[in-house]
Amino acid sequence: MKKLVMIVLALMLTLGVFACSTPAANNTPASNEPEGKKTVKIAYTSGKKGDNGYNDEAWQGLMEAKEMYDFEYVSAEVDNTDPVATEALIRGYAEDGVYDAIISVGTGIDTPTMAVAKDYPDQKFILIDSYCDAPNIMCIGAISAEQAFLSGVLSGIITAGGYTDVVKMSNDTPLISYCIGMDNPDQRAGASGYMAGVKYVNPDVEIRYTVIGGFADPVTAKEVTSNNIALGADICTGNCGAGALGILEACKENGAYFISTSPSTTDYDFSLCTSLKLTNVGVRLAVQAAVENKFEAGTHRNGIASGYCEIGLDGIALQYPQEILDCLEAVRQSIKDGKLVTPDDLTQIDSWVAANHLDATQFGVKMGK
Amino acid sequence: MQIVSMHNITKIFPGTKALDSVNLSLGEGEILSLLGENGAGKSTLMNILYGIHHPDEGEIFFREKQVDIRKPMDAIHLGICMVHQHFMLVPAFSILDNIIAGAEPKFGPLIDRKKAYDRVKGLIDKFHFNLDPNVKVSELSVGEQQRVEILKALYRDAKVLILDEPTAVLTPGEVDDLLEMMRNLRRSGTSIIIITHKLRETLAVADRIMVLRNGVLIRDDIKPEDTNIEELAHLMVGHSINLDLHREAEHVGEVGFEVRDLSITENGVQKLNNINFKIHKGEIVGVAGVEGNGQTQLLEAITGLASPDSMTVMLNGEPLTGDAYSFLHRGVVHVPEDRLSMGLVPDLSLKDNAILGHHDKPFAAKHGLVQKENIAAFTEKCIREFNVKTPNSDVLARALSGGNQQKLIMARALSEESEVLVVAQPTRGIDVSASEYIHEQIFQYRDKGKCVFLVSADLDEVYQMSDRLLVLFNGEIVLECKPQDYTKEELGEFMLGARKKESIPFAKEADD
Amino acid sequence: MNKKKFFHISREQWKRALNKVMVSAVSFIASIVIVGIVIWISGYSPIETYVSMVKGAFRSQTSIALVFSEATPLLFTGLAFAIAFRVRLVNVGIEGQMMMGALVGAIVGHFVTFLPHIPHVFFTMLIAGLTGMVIALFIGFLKVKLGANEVIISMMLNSIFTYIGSYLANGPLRAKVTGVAQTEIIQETALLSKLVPKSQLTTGYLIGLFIAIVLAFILDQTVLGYKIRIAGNNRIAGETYGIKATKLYYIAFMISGFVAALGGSIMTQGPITRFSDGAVAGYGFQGISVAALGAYNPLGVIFSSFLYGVLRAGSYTVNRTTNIPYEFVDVIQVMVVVFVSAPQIIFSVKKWFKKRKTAKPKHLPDSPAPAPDQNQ
Repeated sequence: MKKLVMIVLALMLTLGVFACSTPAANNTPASNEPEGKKTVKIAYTSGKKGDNGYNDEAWQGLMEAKEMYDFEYVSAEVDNTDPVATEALIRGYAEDGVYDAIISVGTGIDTPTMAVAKDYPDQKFILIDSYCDAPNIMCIGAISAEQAFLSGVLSGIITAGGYTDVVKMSNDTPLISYCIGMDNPDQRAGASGYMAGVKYVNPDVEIRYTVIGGFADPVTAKEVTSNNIALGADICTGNCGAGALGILEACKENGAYFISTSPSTTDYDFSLCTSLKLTNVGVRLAVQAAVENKFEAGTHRNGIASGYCEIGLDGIALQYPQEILDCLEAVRQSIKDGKLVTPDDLTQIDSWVAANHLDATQFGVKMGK
Repeated sequence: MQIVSMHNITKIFPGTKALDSVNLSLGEGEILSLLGENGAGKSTLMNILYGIHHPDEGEIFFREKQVDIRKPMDAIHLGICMVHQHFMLVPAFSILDNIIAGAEPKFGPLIDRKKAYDRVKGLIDKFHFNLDPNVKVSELSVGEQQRVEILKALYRDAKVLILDEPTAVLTPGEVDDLLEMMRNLRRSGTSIIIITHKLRETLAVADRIMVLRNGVLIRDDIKPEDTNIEELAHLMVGHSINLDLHREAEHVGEVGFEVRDLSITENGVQKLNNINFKIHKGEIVGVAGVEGNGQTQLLEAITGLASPDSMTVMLNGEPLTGDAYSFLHRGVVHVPEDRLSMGLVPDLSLKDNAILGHHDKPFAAKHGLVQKENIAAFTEKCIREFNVKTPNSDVLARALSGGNQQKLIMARALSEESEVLVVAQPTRGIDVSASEYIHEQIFQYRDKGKCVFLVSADLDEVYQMSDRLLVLFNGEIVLECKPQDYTKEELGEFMLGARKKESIPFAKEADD
Repeated sequence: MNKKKFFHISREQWKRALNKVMVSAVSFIASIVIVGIVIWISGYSPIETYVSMVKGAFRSQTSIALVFSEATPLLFTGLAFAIAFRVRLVNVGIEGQMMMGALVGAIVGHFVTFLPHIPHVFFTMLIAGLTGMVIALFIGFLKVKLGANEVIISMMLNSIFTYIGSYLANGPLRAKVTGVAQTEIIQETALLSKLVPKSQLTTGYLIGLFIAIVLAFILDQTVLGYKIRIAGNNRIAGETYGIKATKLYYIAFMISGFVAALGGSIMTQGPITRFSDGAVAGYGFQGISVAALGAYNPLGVIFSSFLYGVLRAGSYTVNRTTNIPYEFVDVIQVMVVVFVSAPQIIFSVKKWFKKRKTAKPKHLPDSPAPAPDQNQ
């Protein structure tokens, strides 16, 4: 028993020593450092790396930024479904007080960050893919409509029927299946971007649009998609989280083509293309904002112009003829140039399609047999 | 030639010297009876020989070679086997499977059942055990289960057989069978050590008697023919004790407790069939019977623990209904048959145990709060009045010896006002002096004009304690009598169902 | 005088308490050492890891606040598990009960708008707690009346409640502007006040402390507590003497469910501010470890939850400042359960030590001769 008491005492002593000795080390805010070449310090948080997807992509962005800019960083991982841990982690960085910016990647980290930002008004926070409104939080995200726009253009060309030798079509009535997870502005914007893209080149396509009602429901997604394929859909896409797996499965079983919103769910044999949102670009932009002192509170959406949104064709088994690629490049360029602005909501599609039309044949694209 | 000898065995447990330089020797083909009260060290000594404990000092020789027995397997390899008081059998297995488990004759990777059967059957025939190896253990009587345990030892080529309290659970007839079996074994050269505090059996079967008291060897050269029960008891306890239990009831009053039409069916089996009896004030009514003939059900019914198919209980002329709680609070107190599982909460303190059942009486609880001071005082009173040996009232109940545990249970039952004492197996596994004390308390309670209902598997106990006896066989009362009207052998016949119910006009006798 | 007797603790009780503390302490230390070895094998320095943990946990007022805020949910689930376990019920359903508490807390906290601050806080907690109580009562009912195994039932219910919560957070109750499955932020009036500014620590911790003390009082000083101890240690003996275990099962389940759900609501009303899918997941199971380390004693649970609070708060520092995978903290928690639930390991180690110590004096019997010599 004596030993136990000794151990407890020793433990308490050690704790006490640490408690007294450390605060001094942390009380050196970045601003107090001597003038001259001051290195920017960044704290970076994301979900767990090694997912072969989102978080790895974001990390890759940080590494890219490291090549481009001069800064130091520390990093940590946290499960973004655990707001308590997320807040504790971000709070820890804010309390350290030495970072020029705390960059956090992921959805759902807005509430925890808000809570910390309120307590540390001088600390700059940059969020990627989470959105909130505070004077010291900068939010970087994608223009949802542009993420799927180019995929839409490609789908429009394919469904016109001129490339059945490249992409097999089961029937002549062009039909596309589209599932979204939830009926919210962001999701609707993504859907309208895709639909606008399709109708930009091929206004006659019918798109069957369904709200699944959740982001973790592959069963319903598969059911809806299978049904649409039975009705004649040759291309099936959607933006419904894990529901993508259900769509892919329906495509595999019934022989239709799939467009995913993430490389992690892309199937090279069944995918037409991928509607990419390049998180690494987002992280790069965030680092740039911190390093070049371009921090600006509020939400900053980026699209095709900055390379944040892109159509992914790498590794796809299908070989598209050059004229299709040319056509996509031309569309990309006109968006970059600001000549073409994508619609943000489903209600705008009809008027948008009436005002904007691209005759793809000018690039040699075969629109119809 | 000595098969086993133990020299200067000393074993110290924290706080006590369990064995102090004890010597033991056992000859080939000898039956040695190891006598002593609980805590005298006889179990410790045997546990050392069997490898459960390791001595702090001393040496063990087997066939004149020194051996180091560290675990029971070592002992078994030498041929030393122990049959415990609590049988270690798998009820769902056949006798054969139980016997060969752990030492199966192999045929490649398979069990050679033919060989196993032949060997077991051979042993059964050789020692006249009268068992069928293919019967399931769950279908056996207690005595038969004990035979299986002994067979298990013999199957493993036991040269030395240690029997721990072998007769505690047997009927008189079964005891005779066991003693006969032991003599058979002796004839074939097996040596036997029997741990017991039943003096009569010791005298009947032992070649030599060894007495331990408080960890010290008192005598190890007693010949049964040169001694008697009184002397042995004196040696064991250290002072002379009164072995003739019976005390006549002096003031038998009116009927205090009456049970009518008690029938219980469990899982479609009639466990009790139309039981009727009365207990007068100032009278002990005992139940004799082989265990498993409905005693448990009877006890549960009259203490409110079970709900019978039919039963009317009258306490002082008023009907008594409800559950265990109501029975308890109307004054039917209970000393259950199994101390450790039913009577006590071994991992709680004596205080907590002392108020079990009294826990919501005013002295123990006010406004839902426990009254620790009163409880402490009550516990102290119980300890003092019933002579419970314990350092204090905060120790755990499991730390007490069996006798002291039982005294505590008795104290708890009798320390508060009550009308009827239902007491089962009051002295099972308890040493002589504690038993004597408990018996005395039961008599005193009766003599205060209270009713006592006594159930015991120990026929001697029921026979000597009871003012009136009921013999229970197969769920029915087959005999109601004054003990002195029948011999124990005759009662044994009733207990085994060999003699049929004689017409005892129950109502007539009870009302006189 | 009277008061002294009231809280009088005898030597025996001290001994037993110390024994329990020893089991817990040794379990904890052994777990730390074993995980330290794992860290070392993985190529990191265990000393550096533990030092930075402890440093991180105690470096400032806010970091100490973090220790307690991390301990808060564990205090509740630990207490909930411990109280049920005192009657030998294994309520693994605290996971689901806590989640439903968090959900109901979010609903009441958001949709009830007419109450002022303090009443709203308590009303929210009460309704959430009652929800957990009803759920636990249902498990108790299935166990007592239908003889179902409470572990299996509550595991199944955990899944059901997880999906109910997930569905509501994804669907009908989903916040308008959000990227993940979560409900709207609750009303200001339902939020617990911060105990330390710039921290996640709320007055919820004090409520947890209060409940721990109340439970300790119930167990030690009331007839109900007495019955719980009896029924938990020897159900048959209790029933022989009129203490009905089934009734106590109901009571223990009710308390356990109430406390677990209250903990959920306190998370909603504290750091989370809303119901977020998966936000309170895992606390229930960690509660088992907390209760075990606390020897199923409410006061012990205060300490064990504090220890885990230190571990978890420290793990954030490790996560923030080093590359060491902070998941090792979870491993420590699991190891603790292994050791505490198998105290025989500790006892056998203790025995082994004793044997080694007594190995030398064992030769003493060989040399009793010198003693008489000295006398001469």
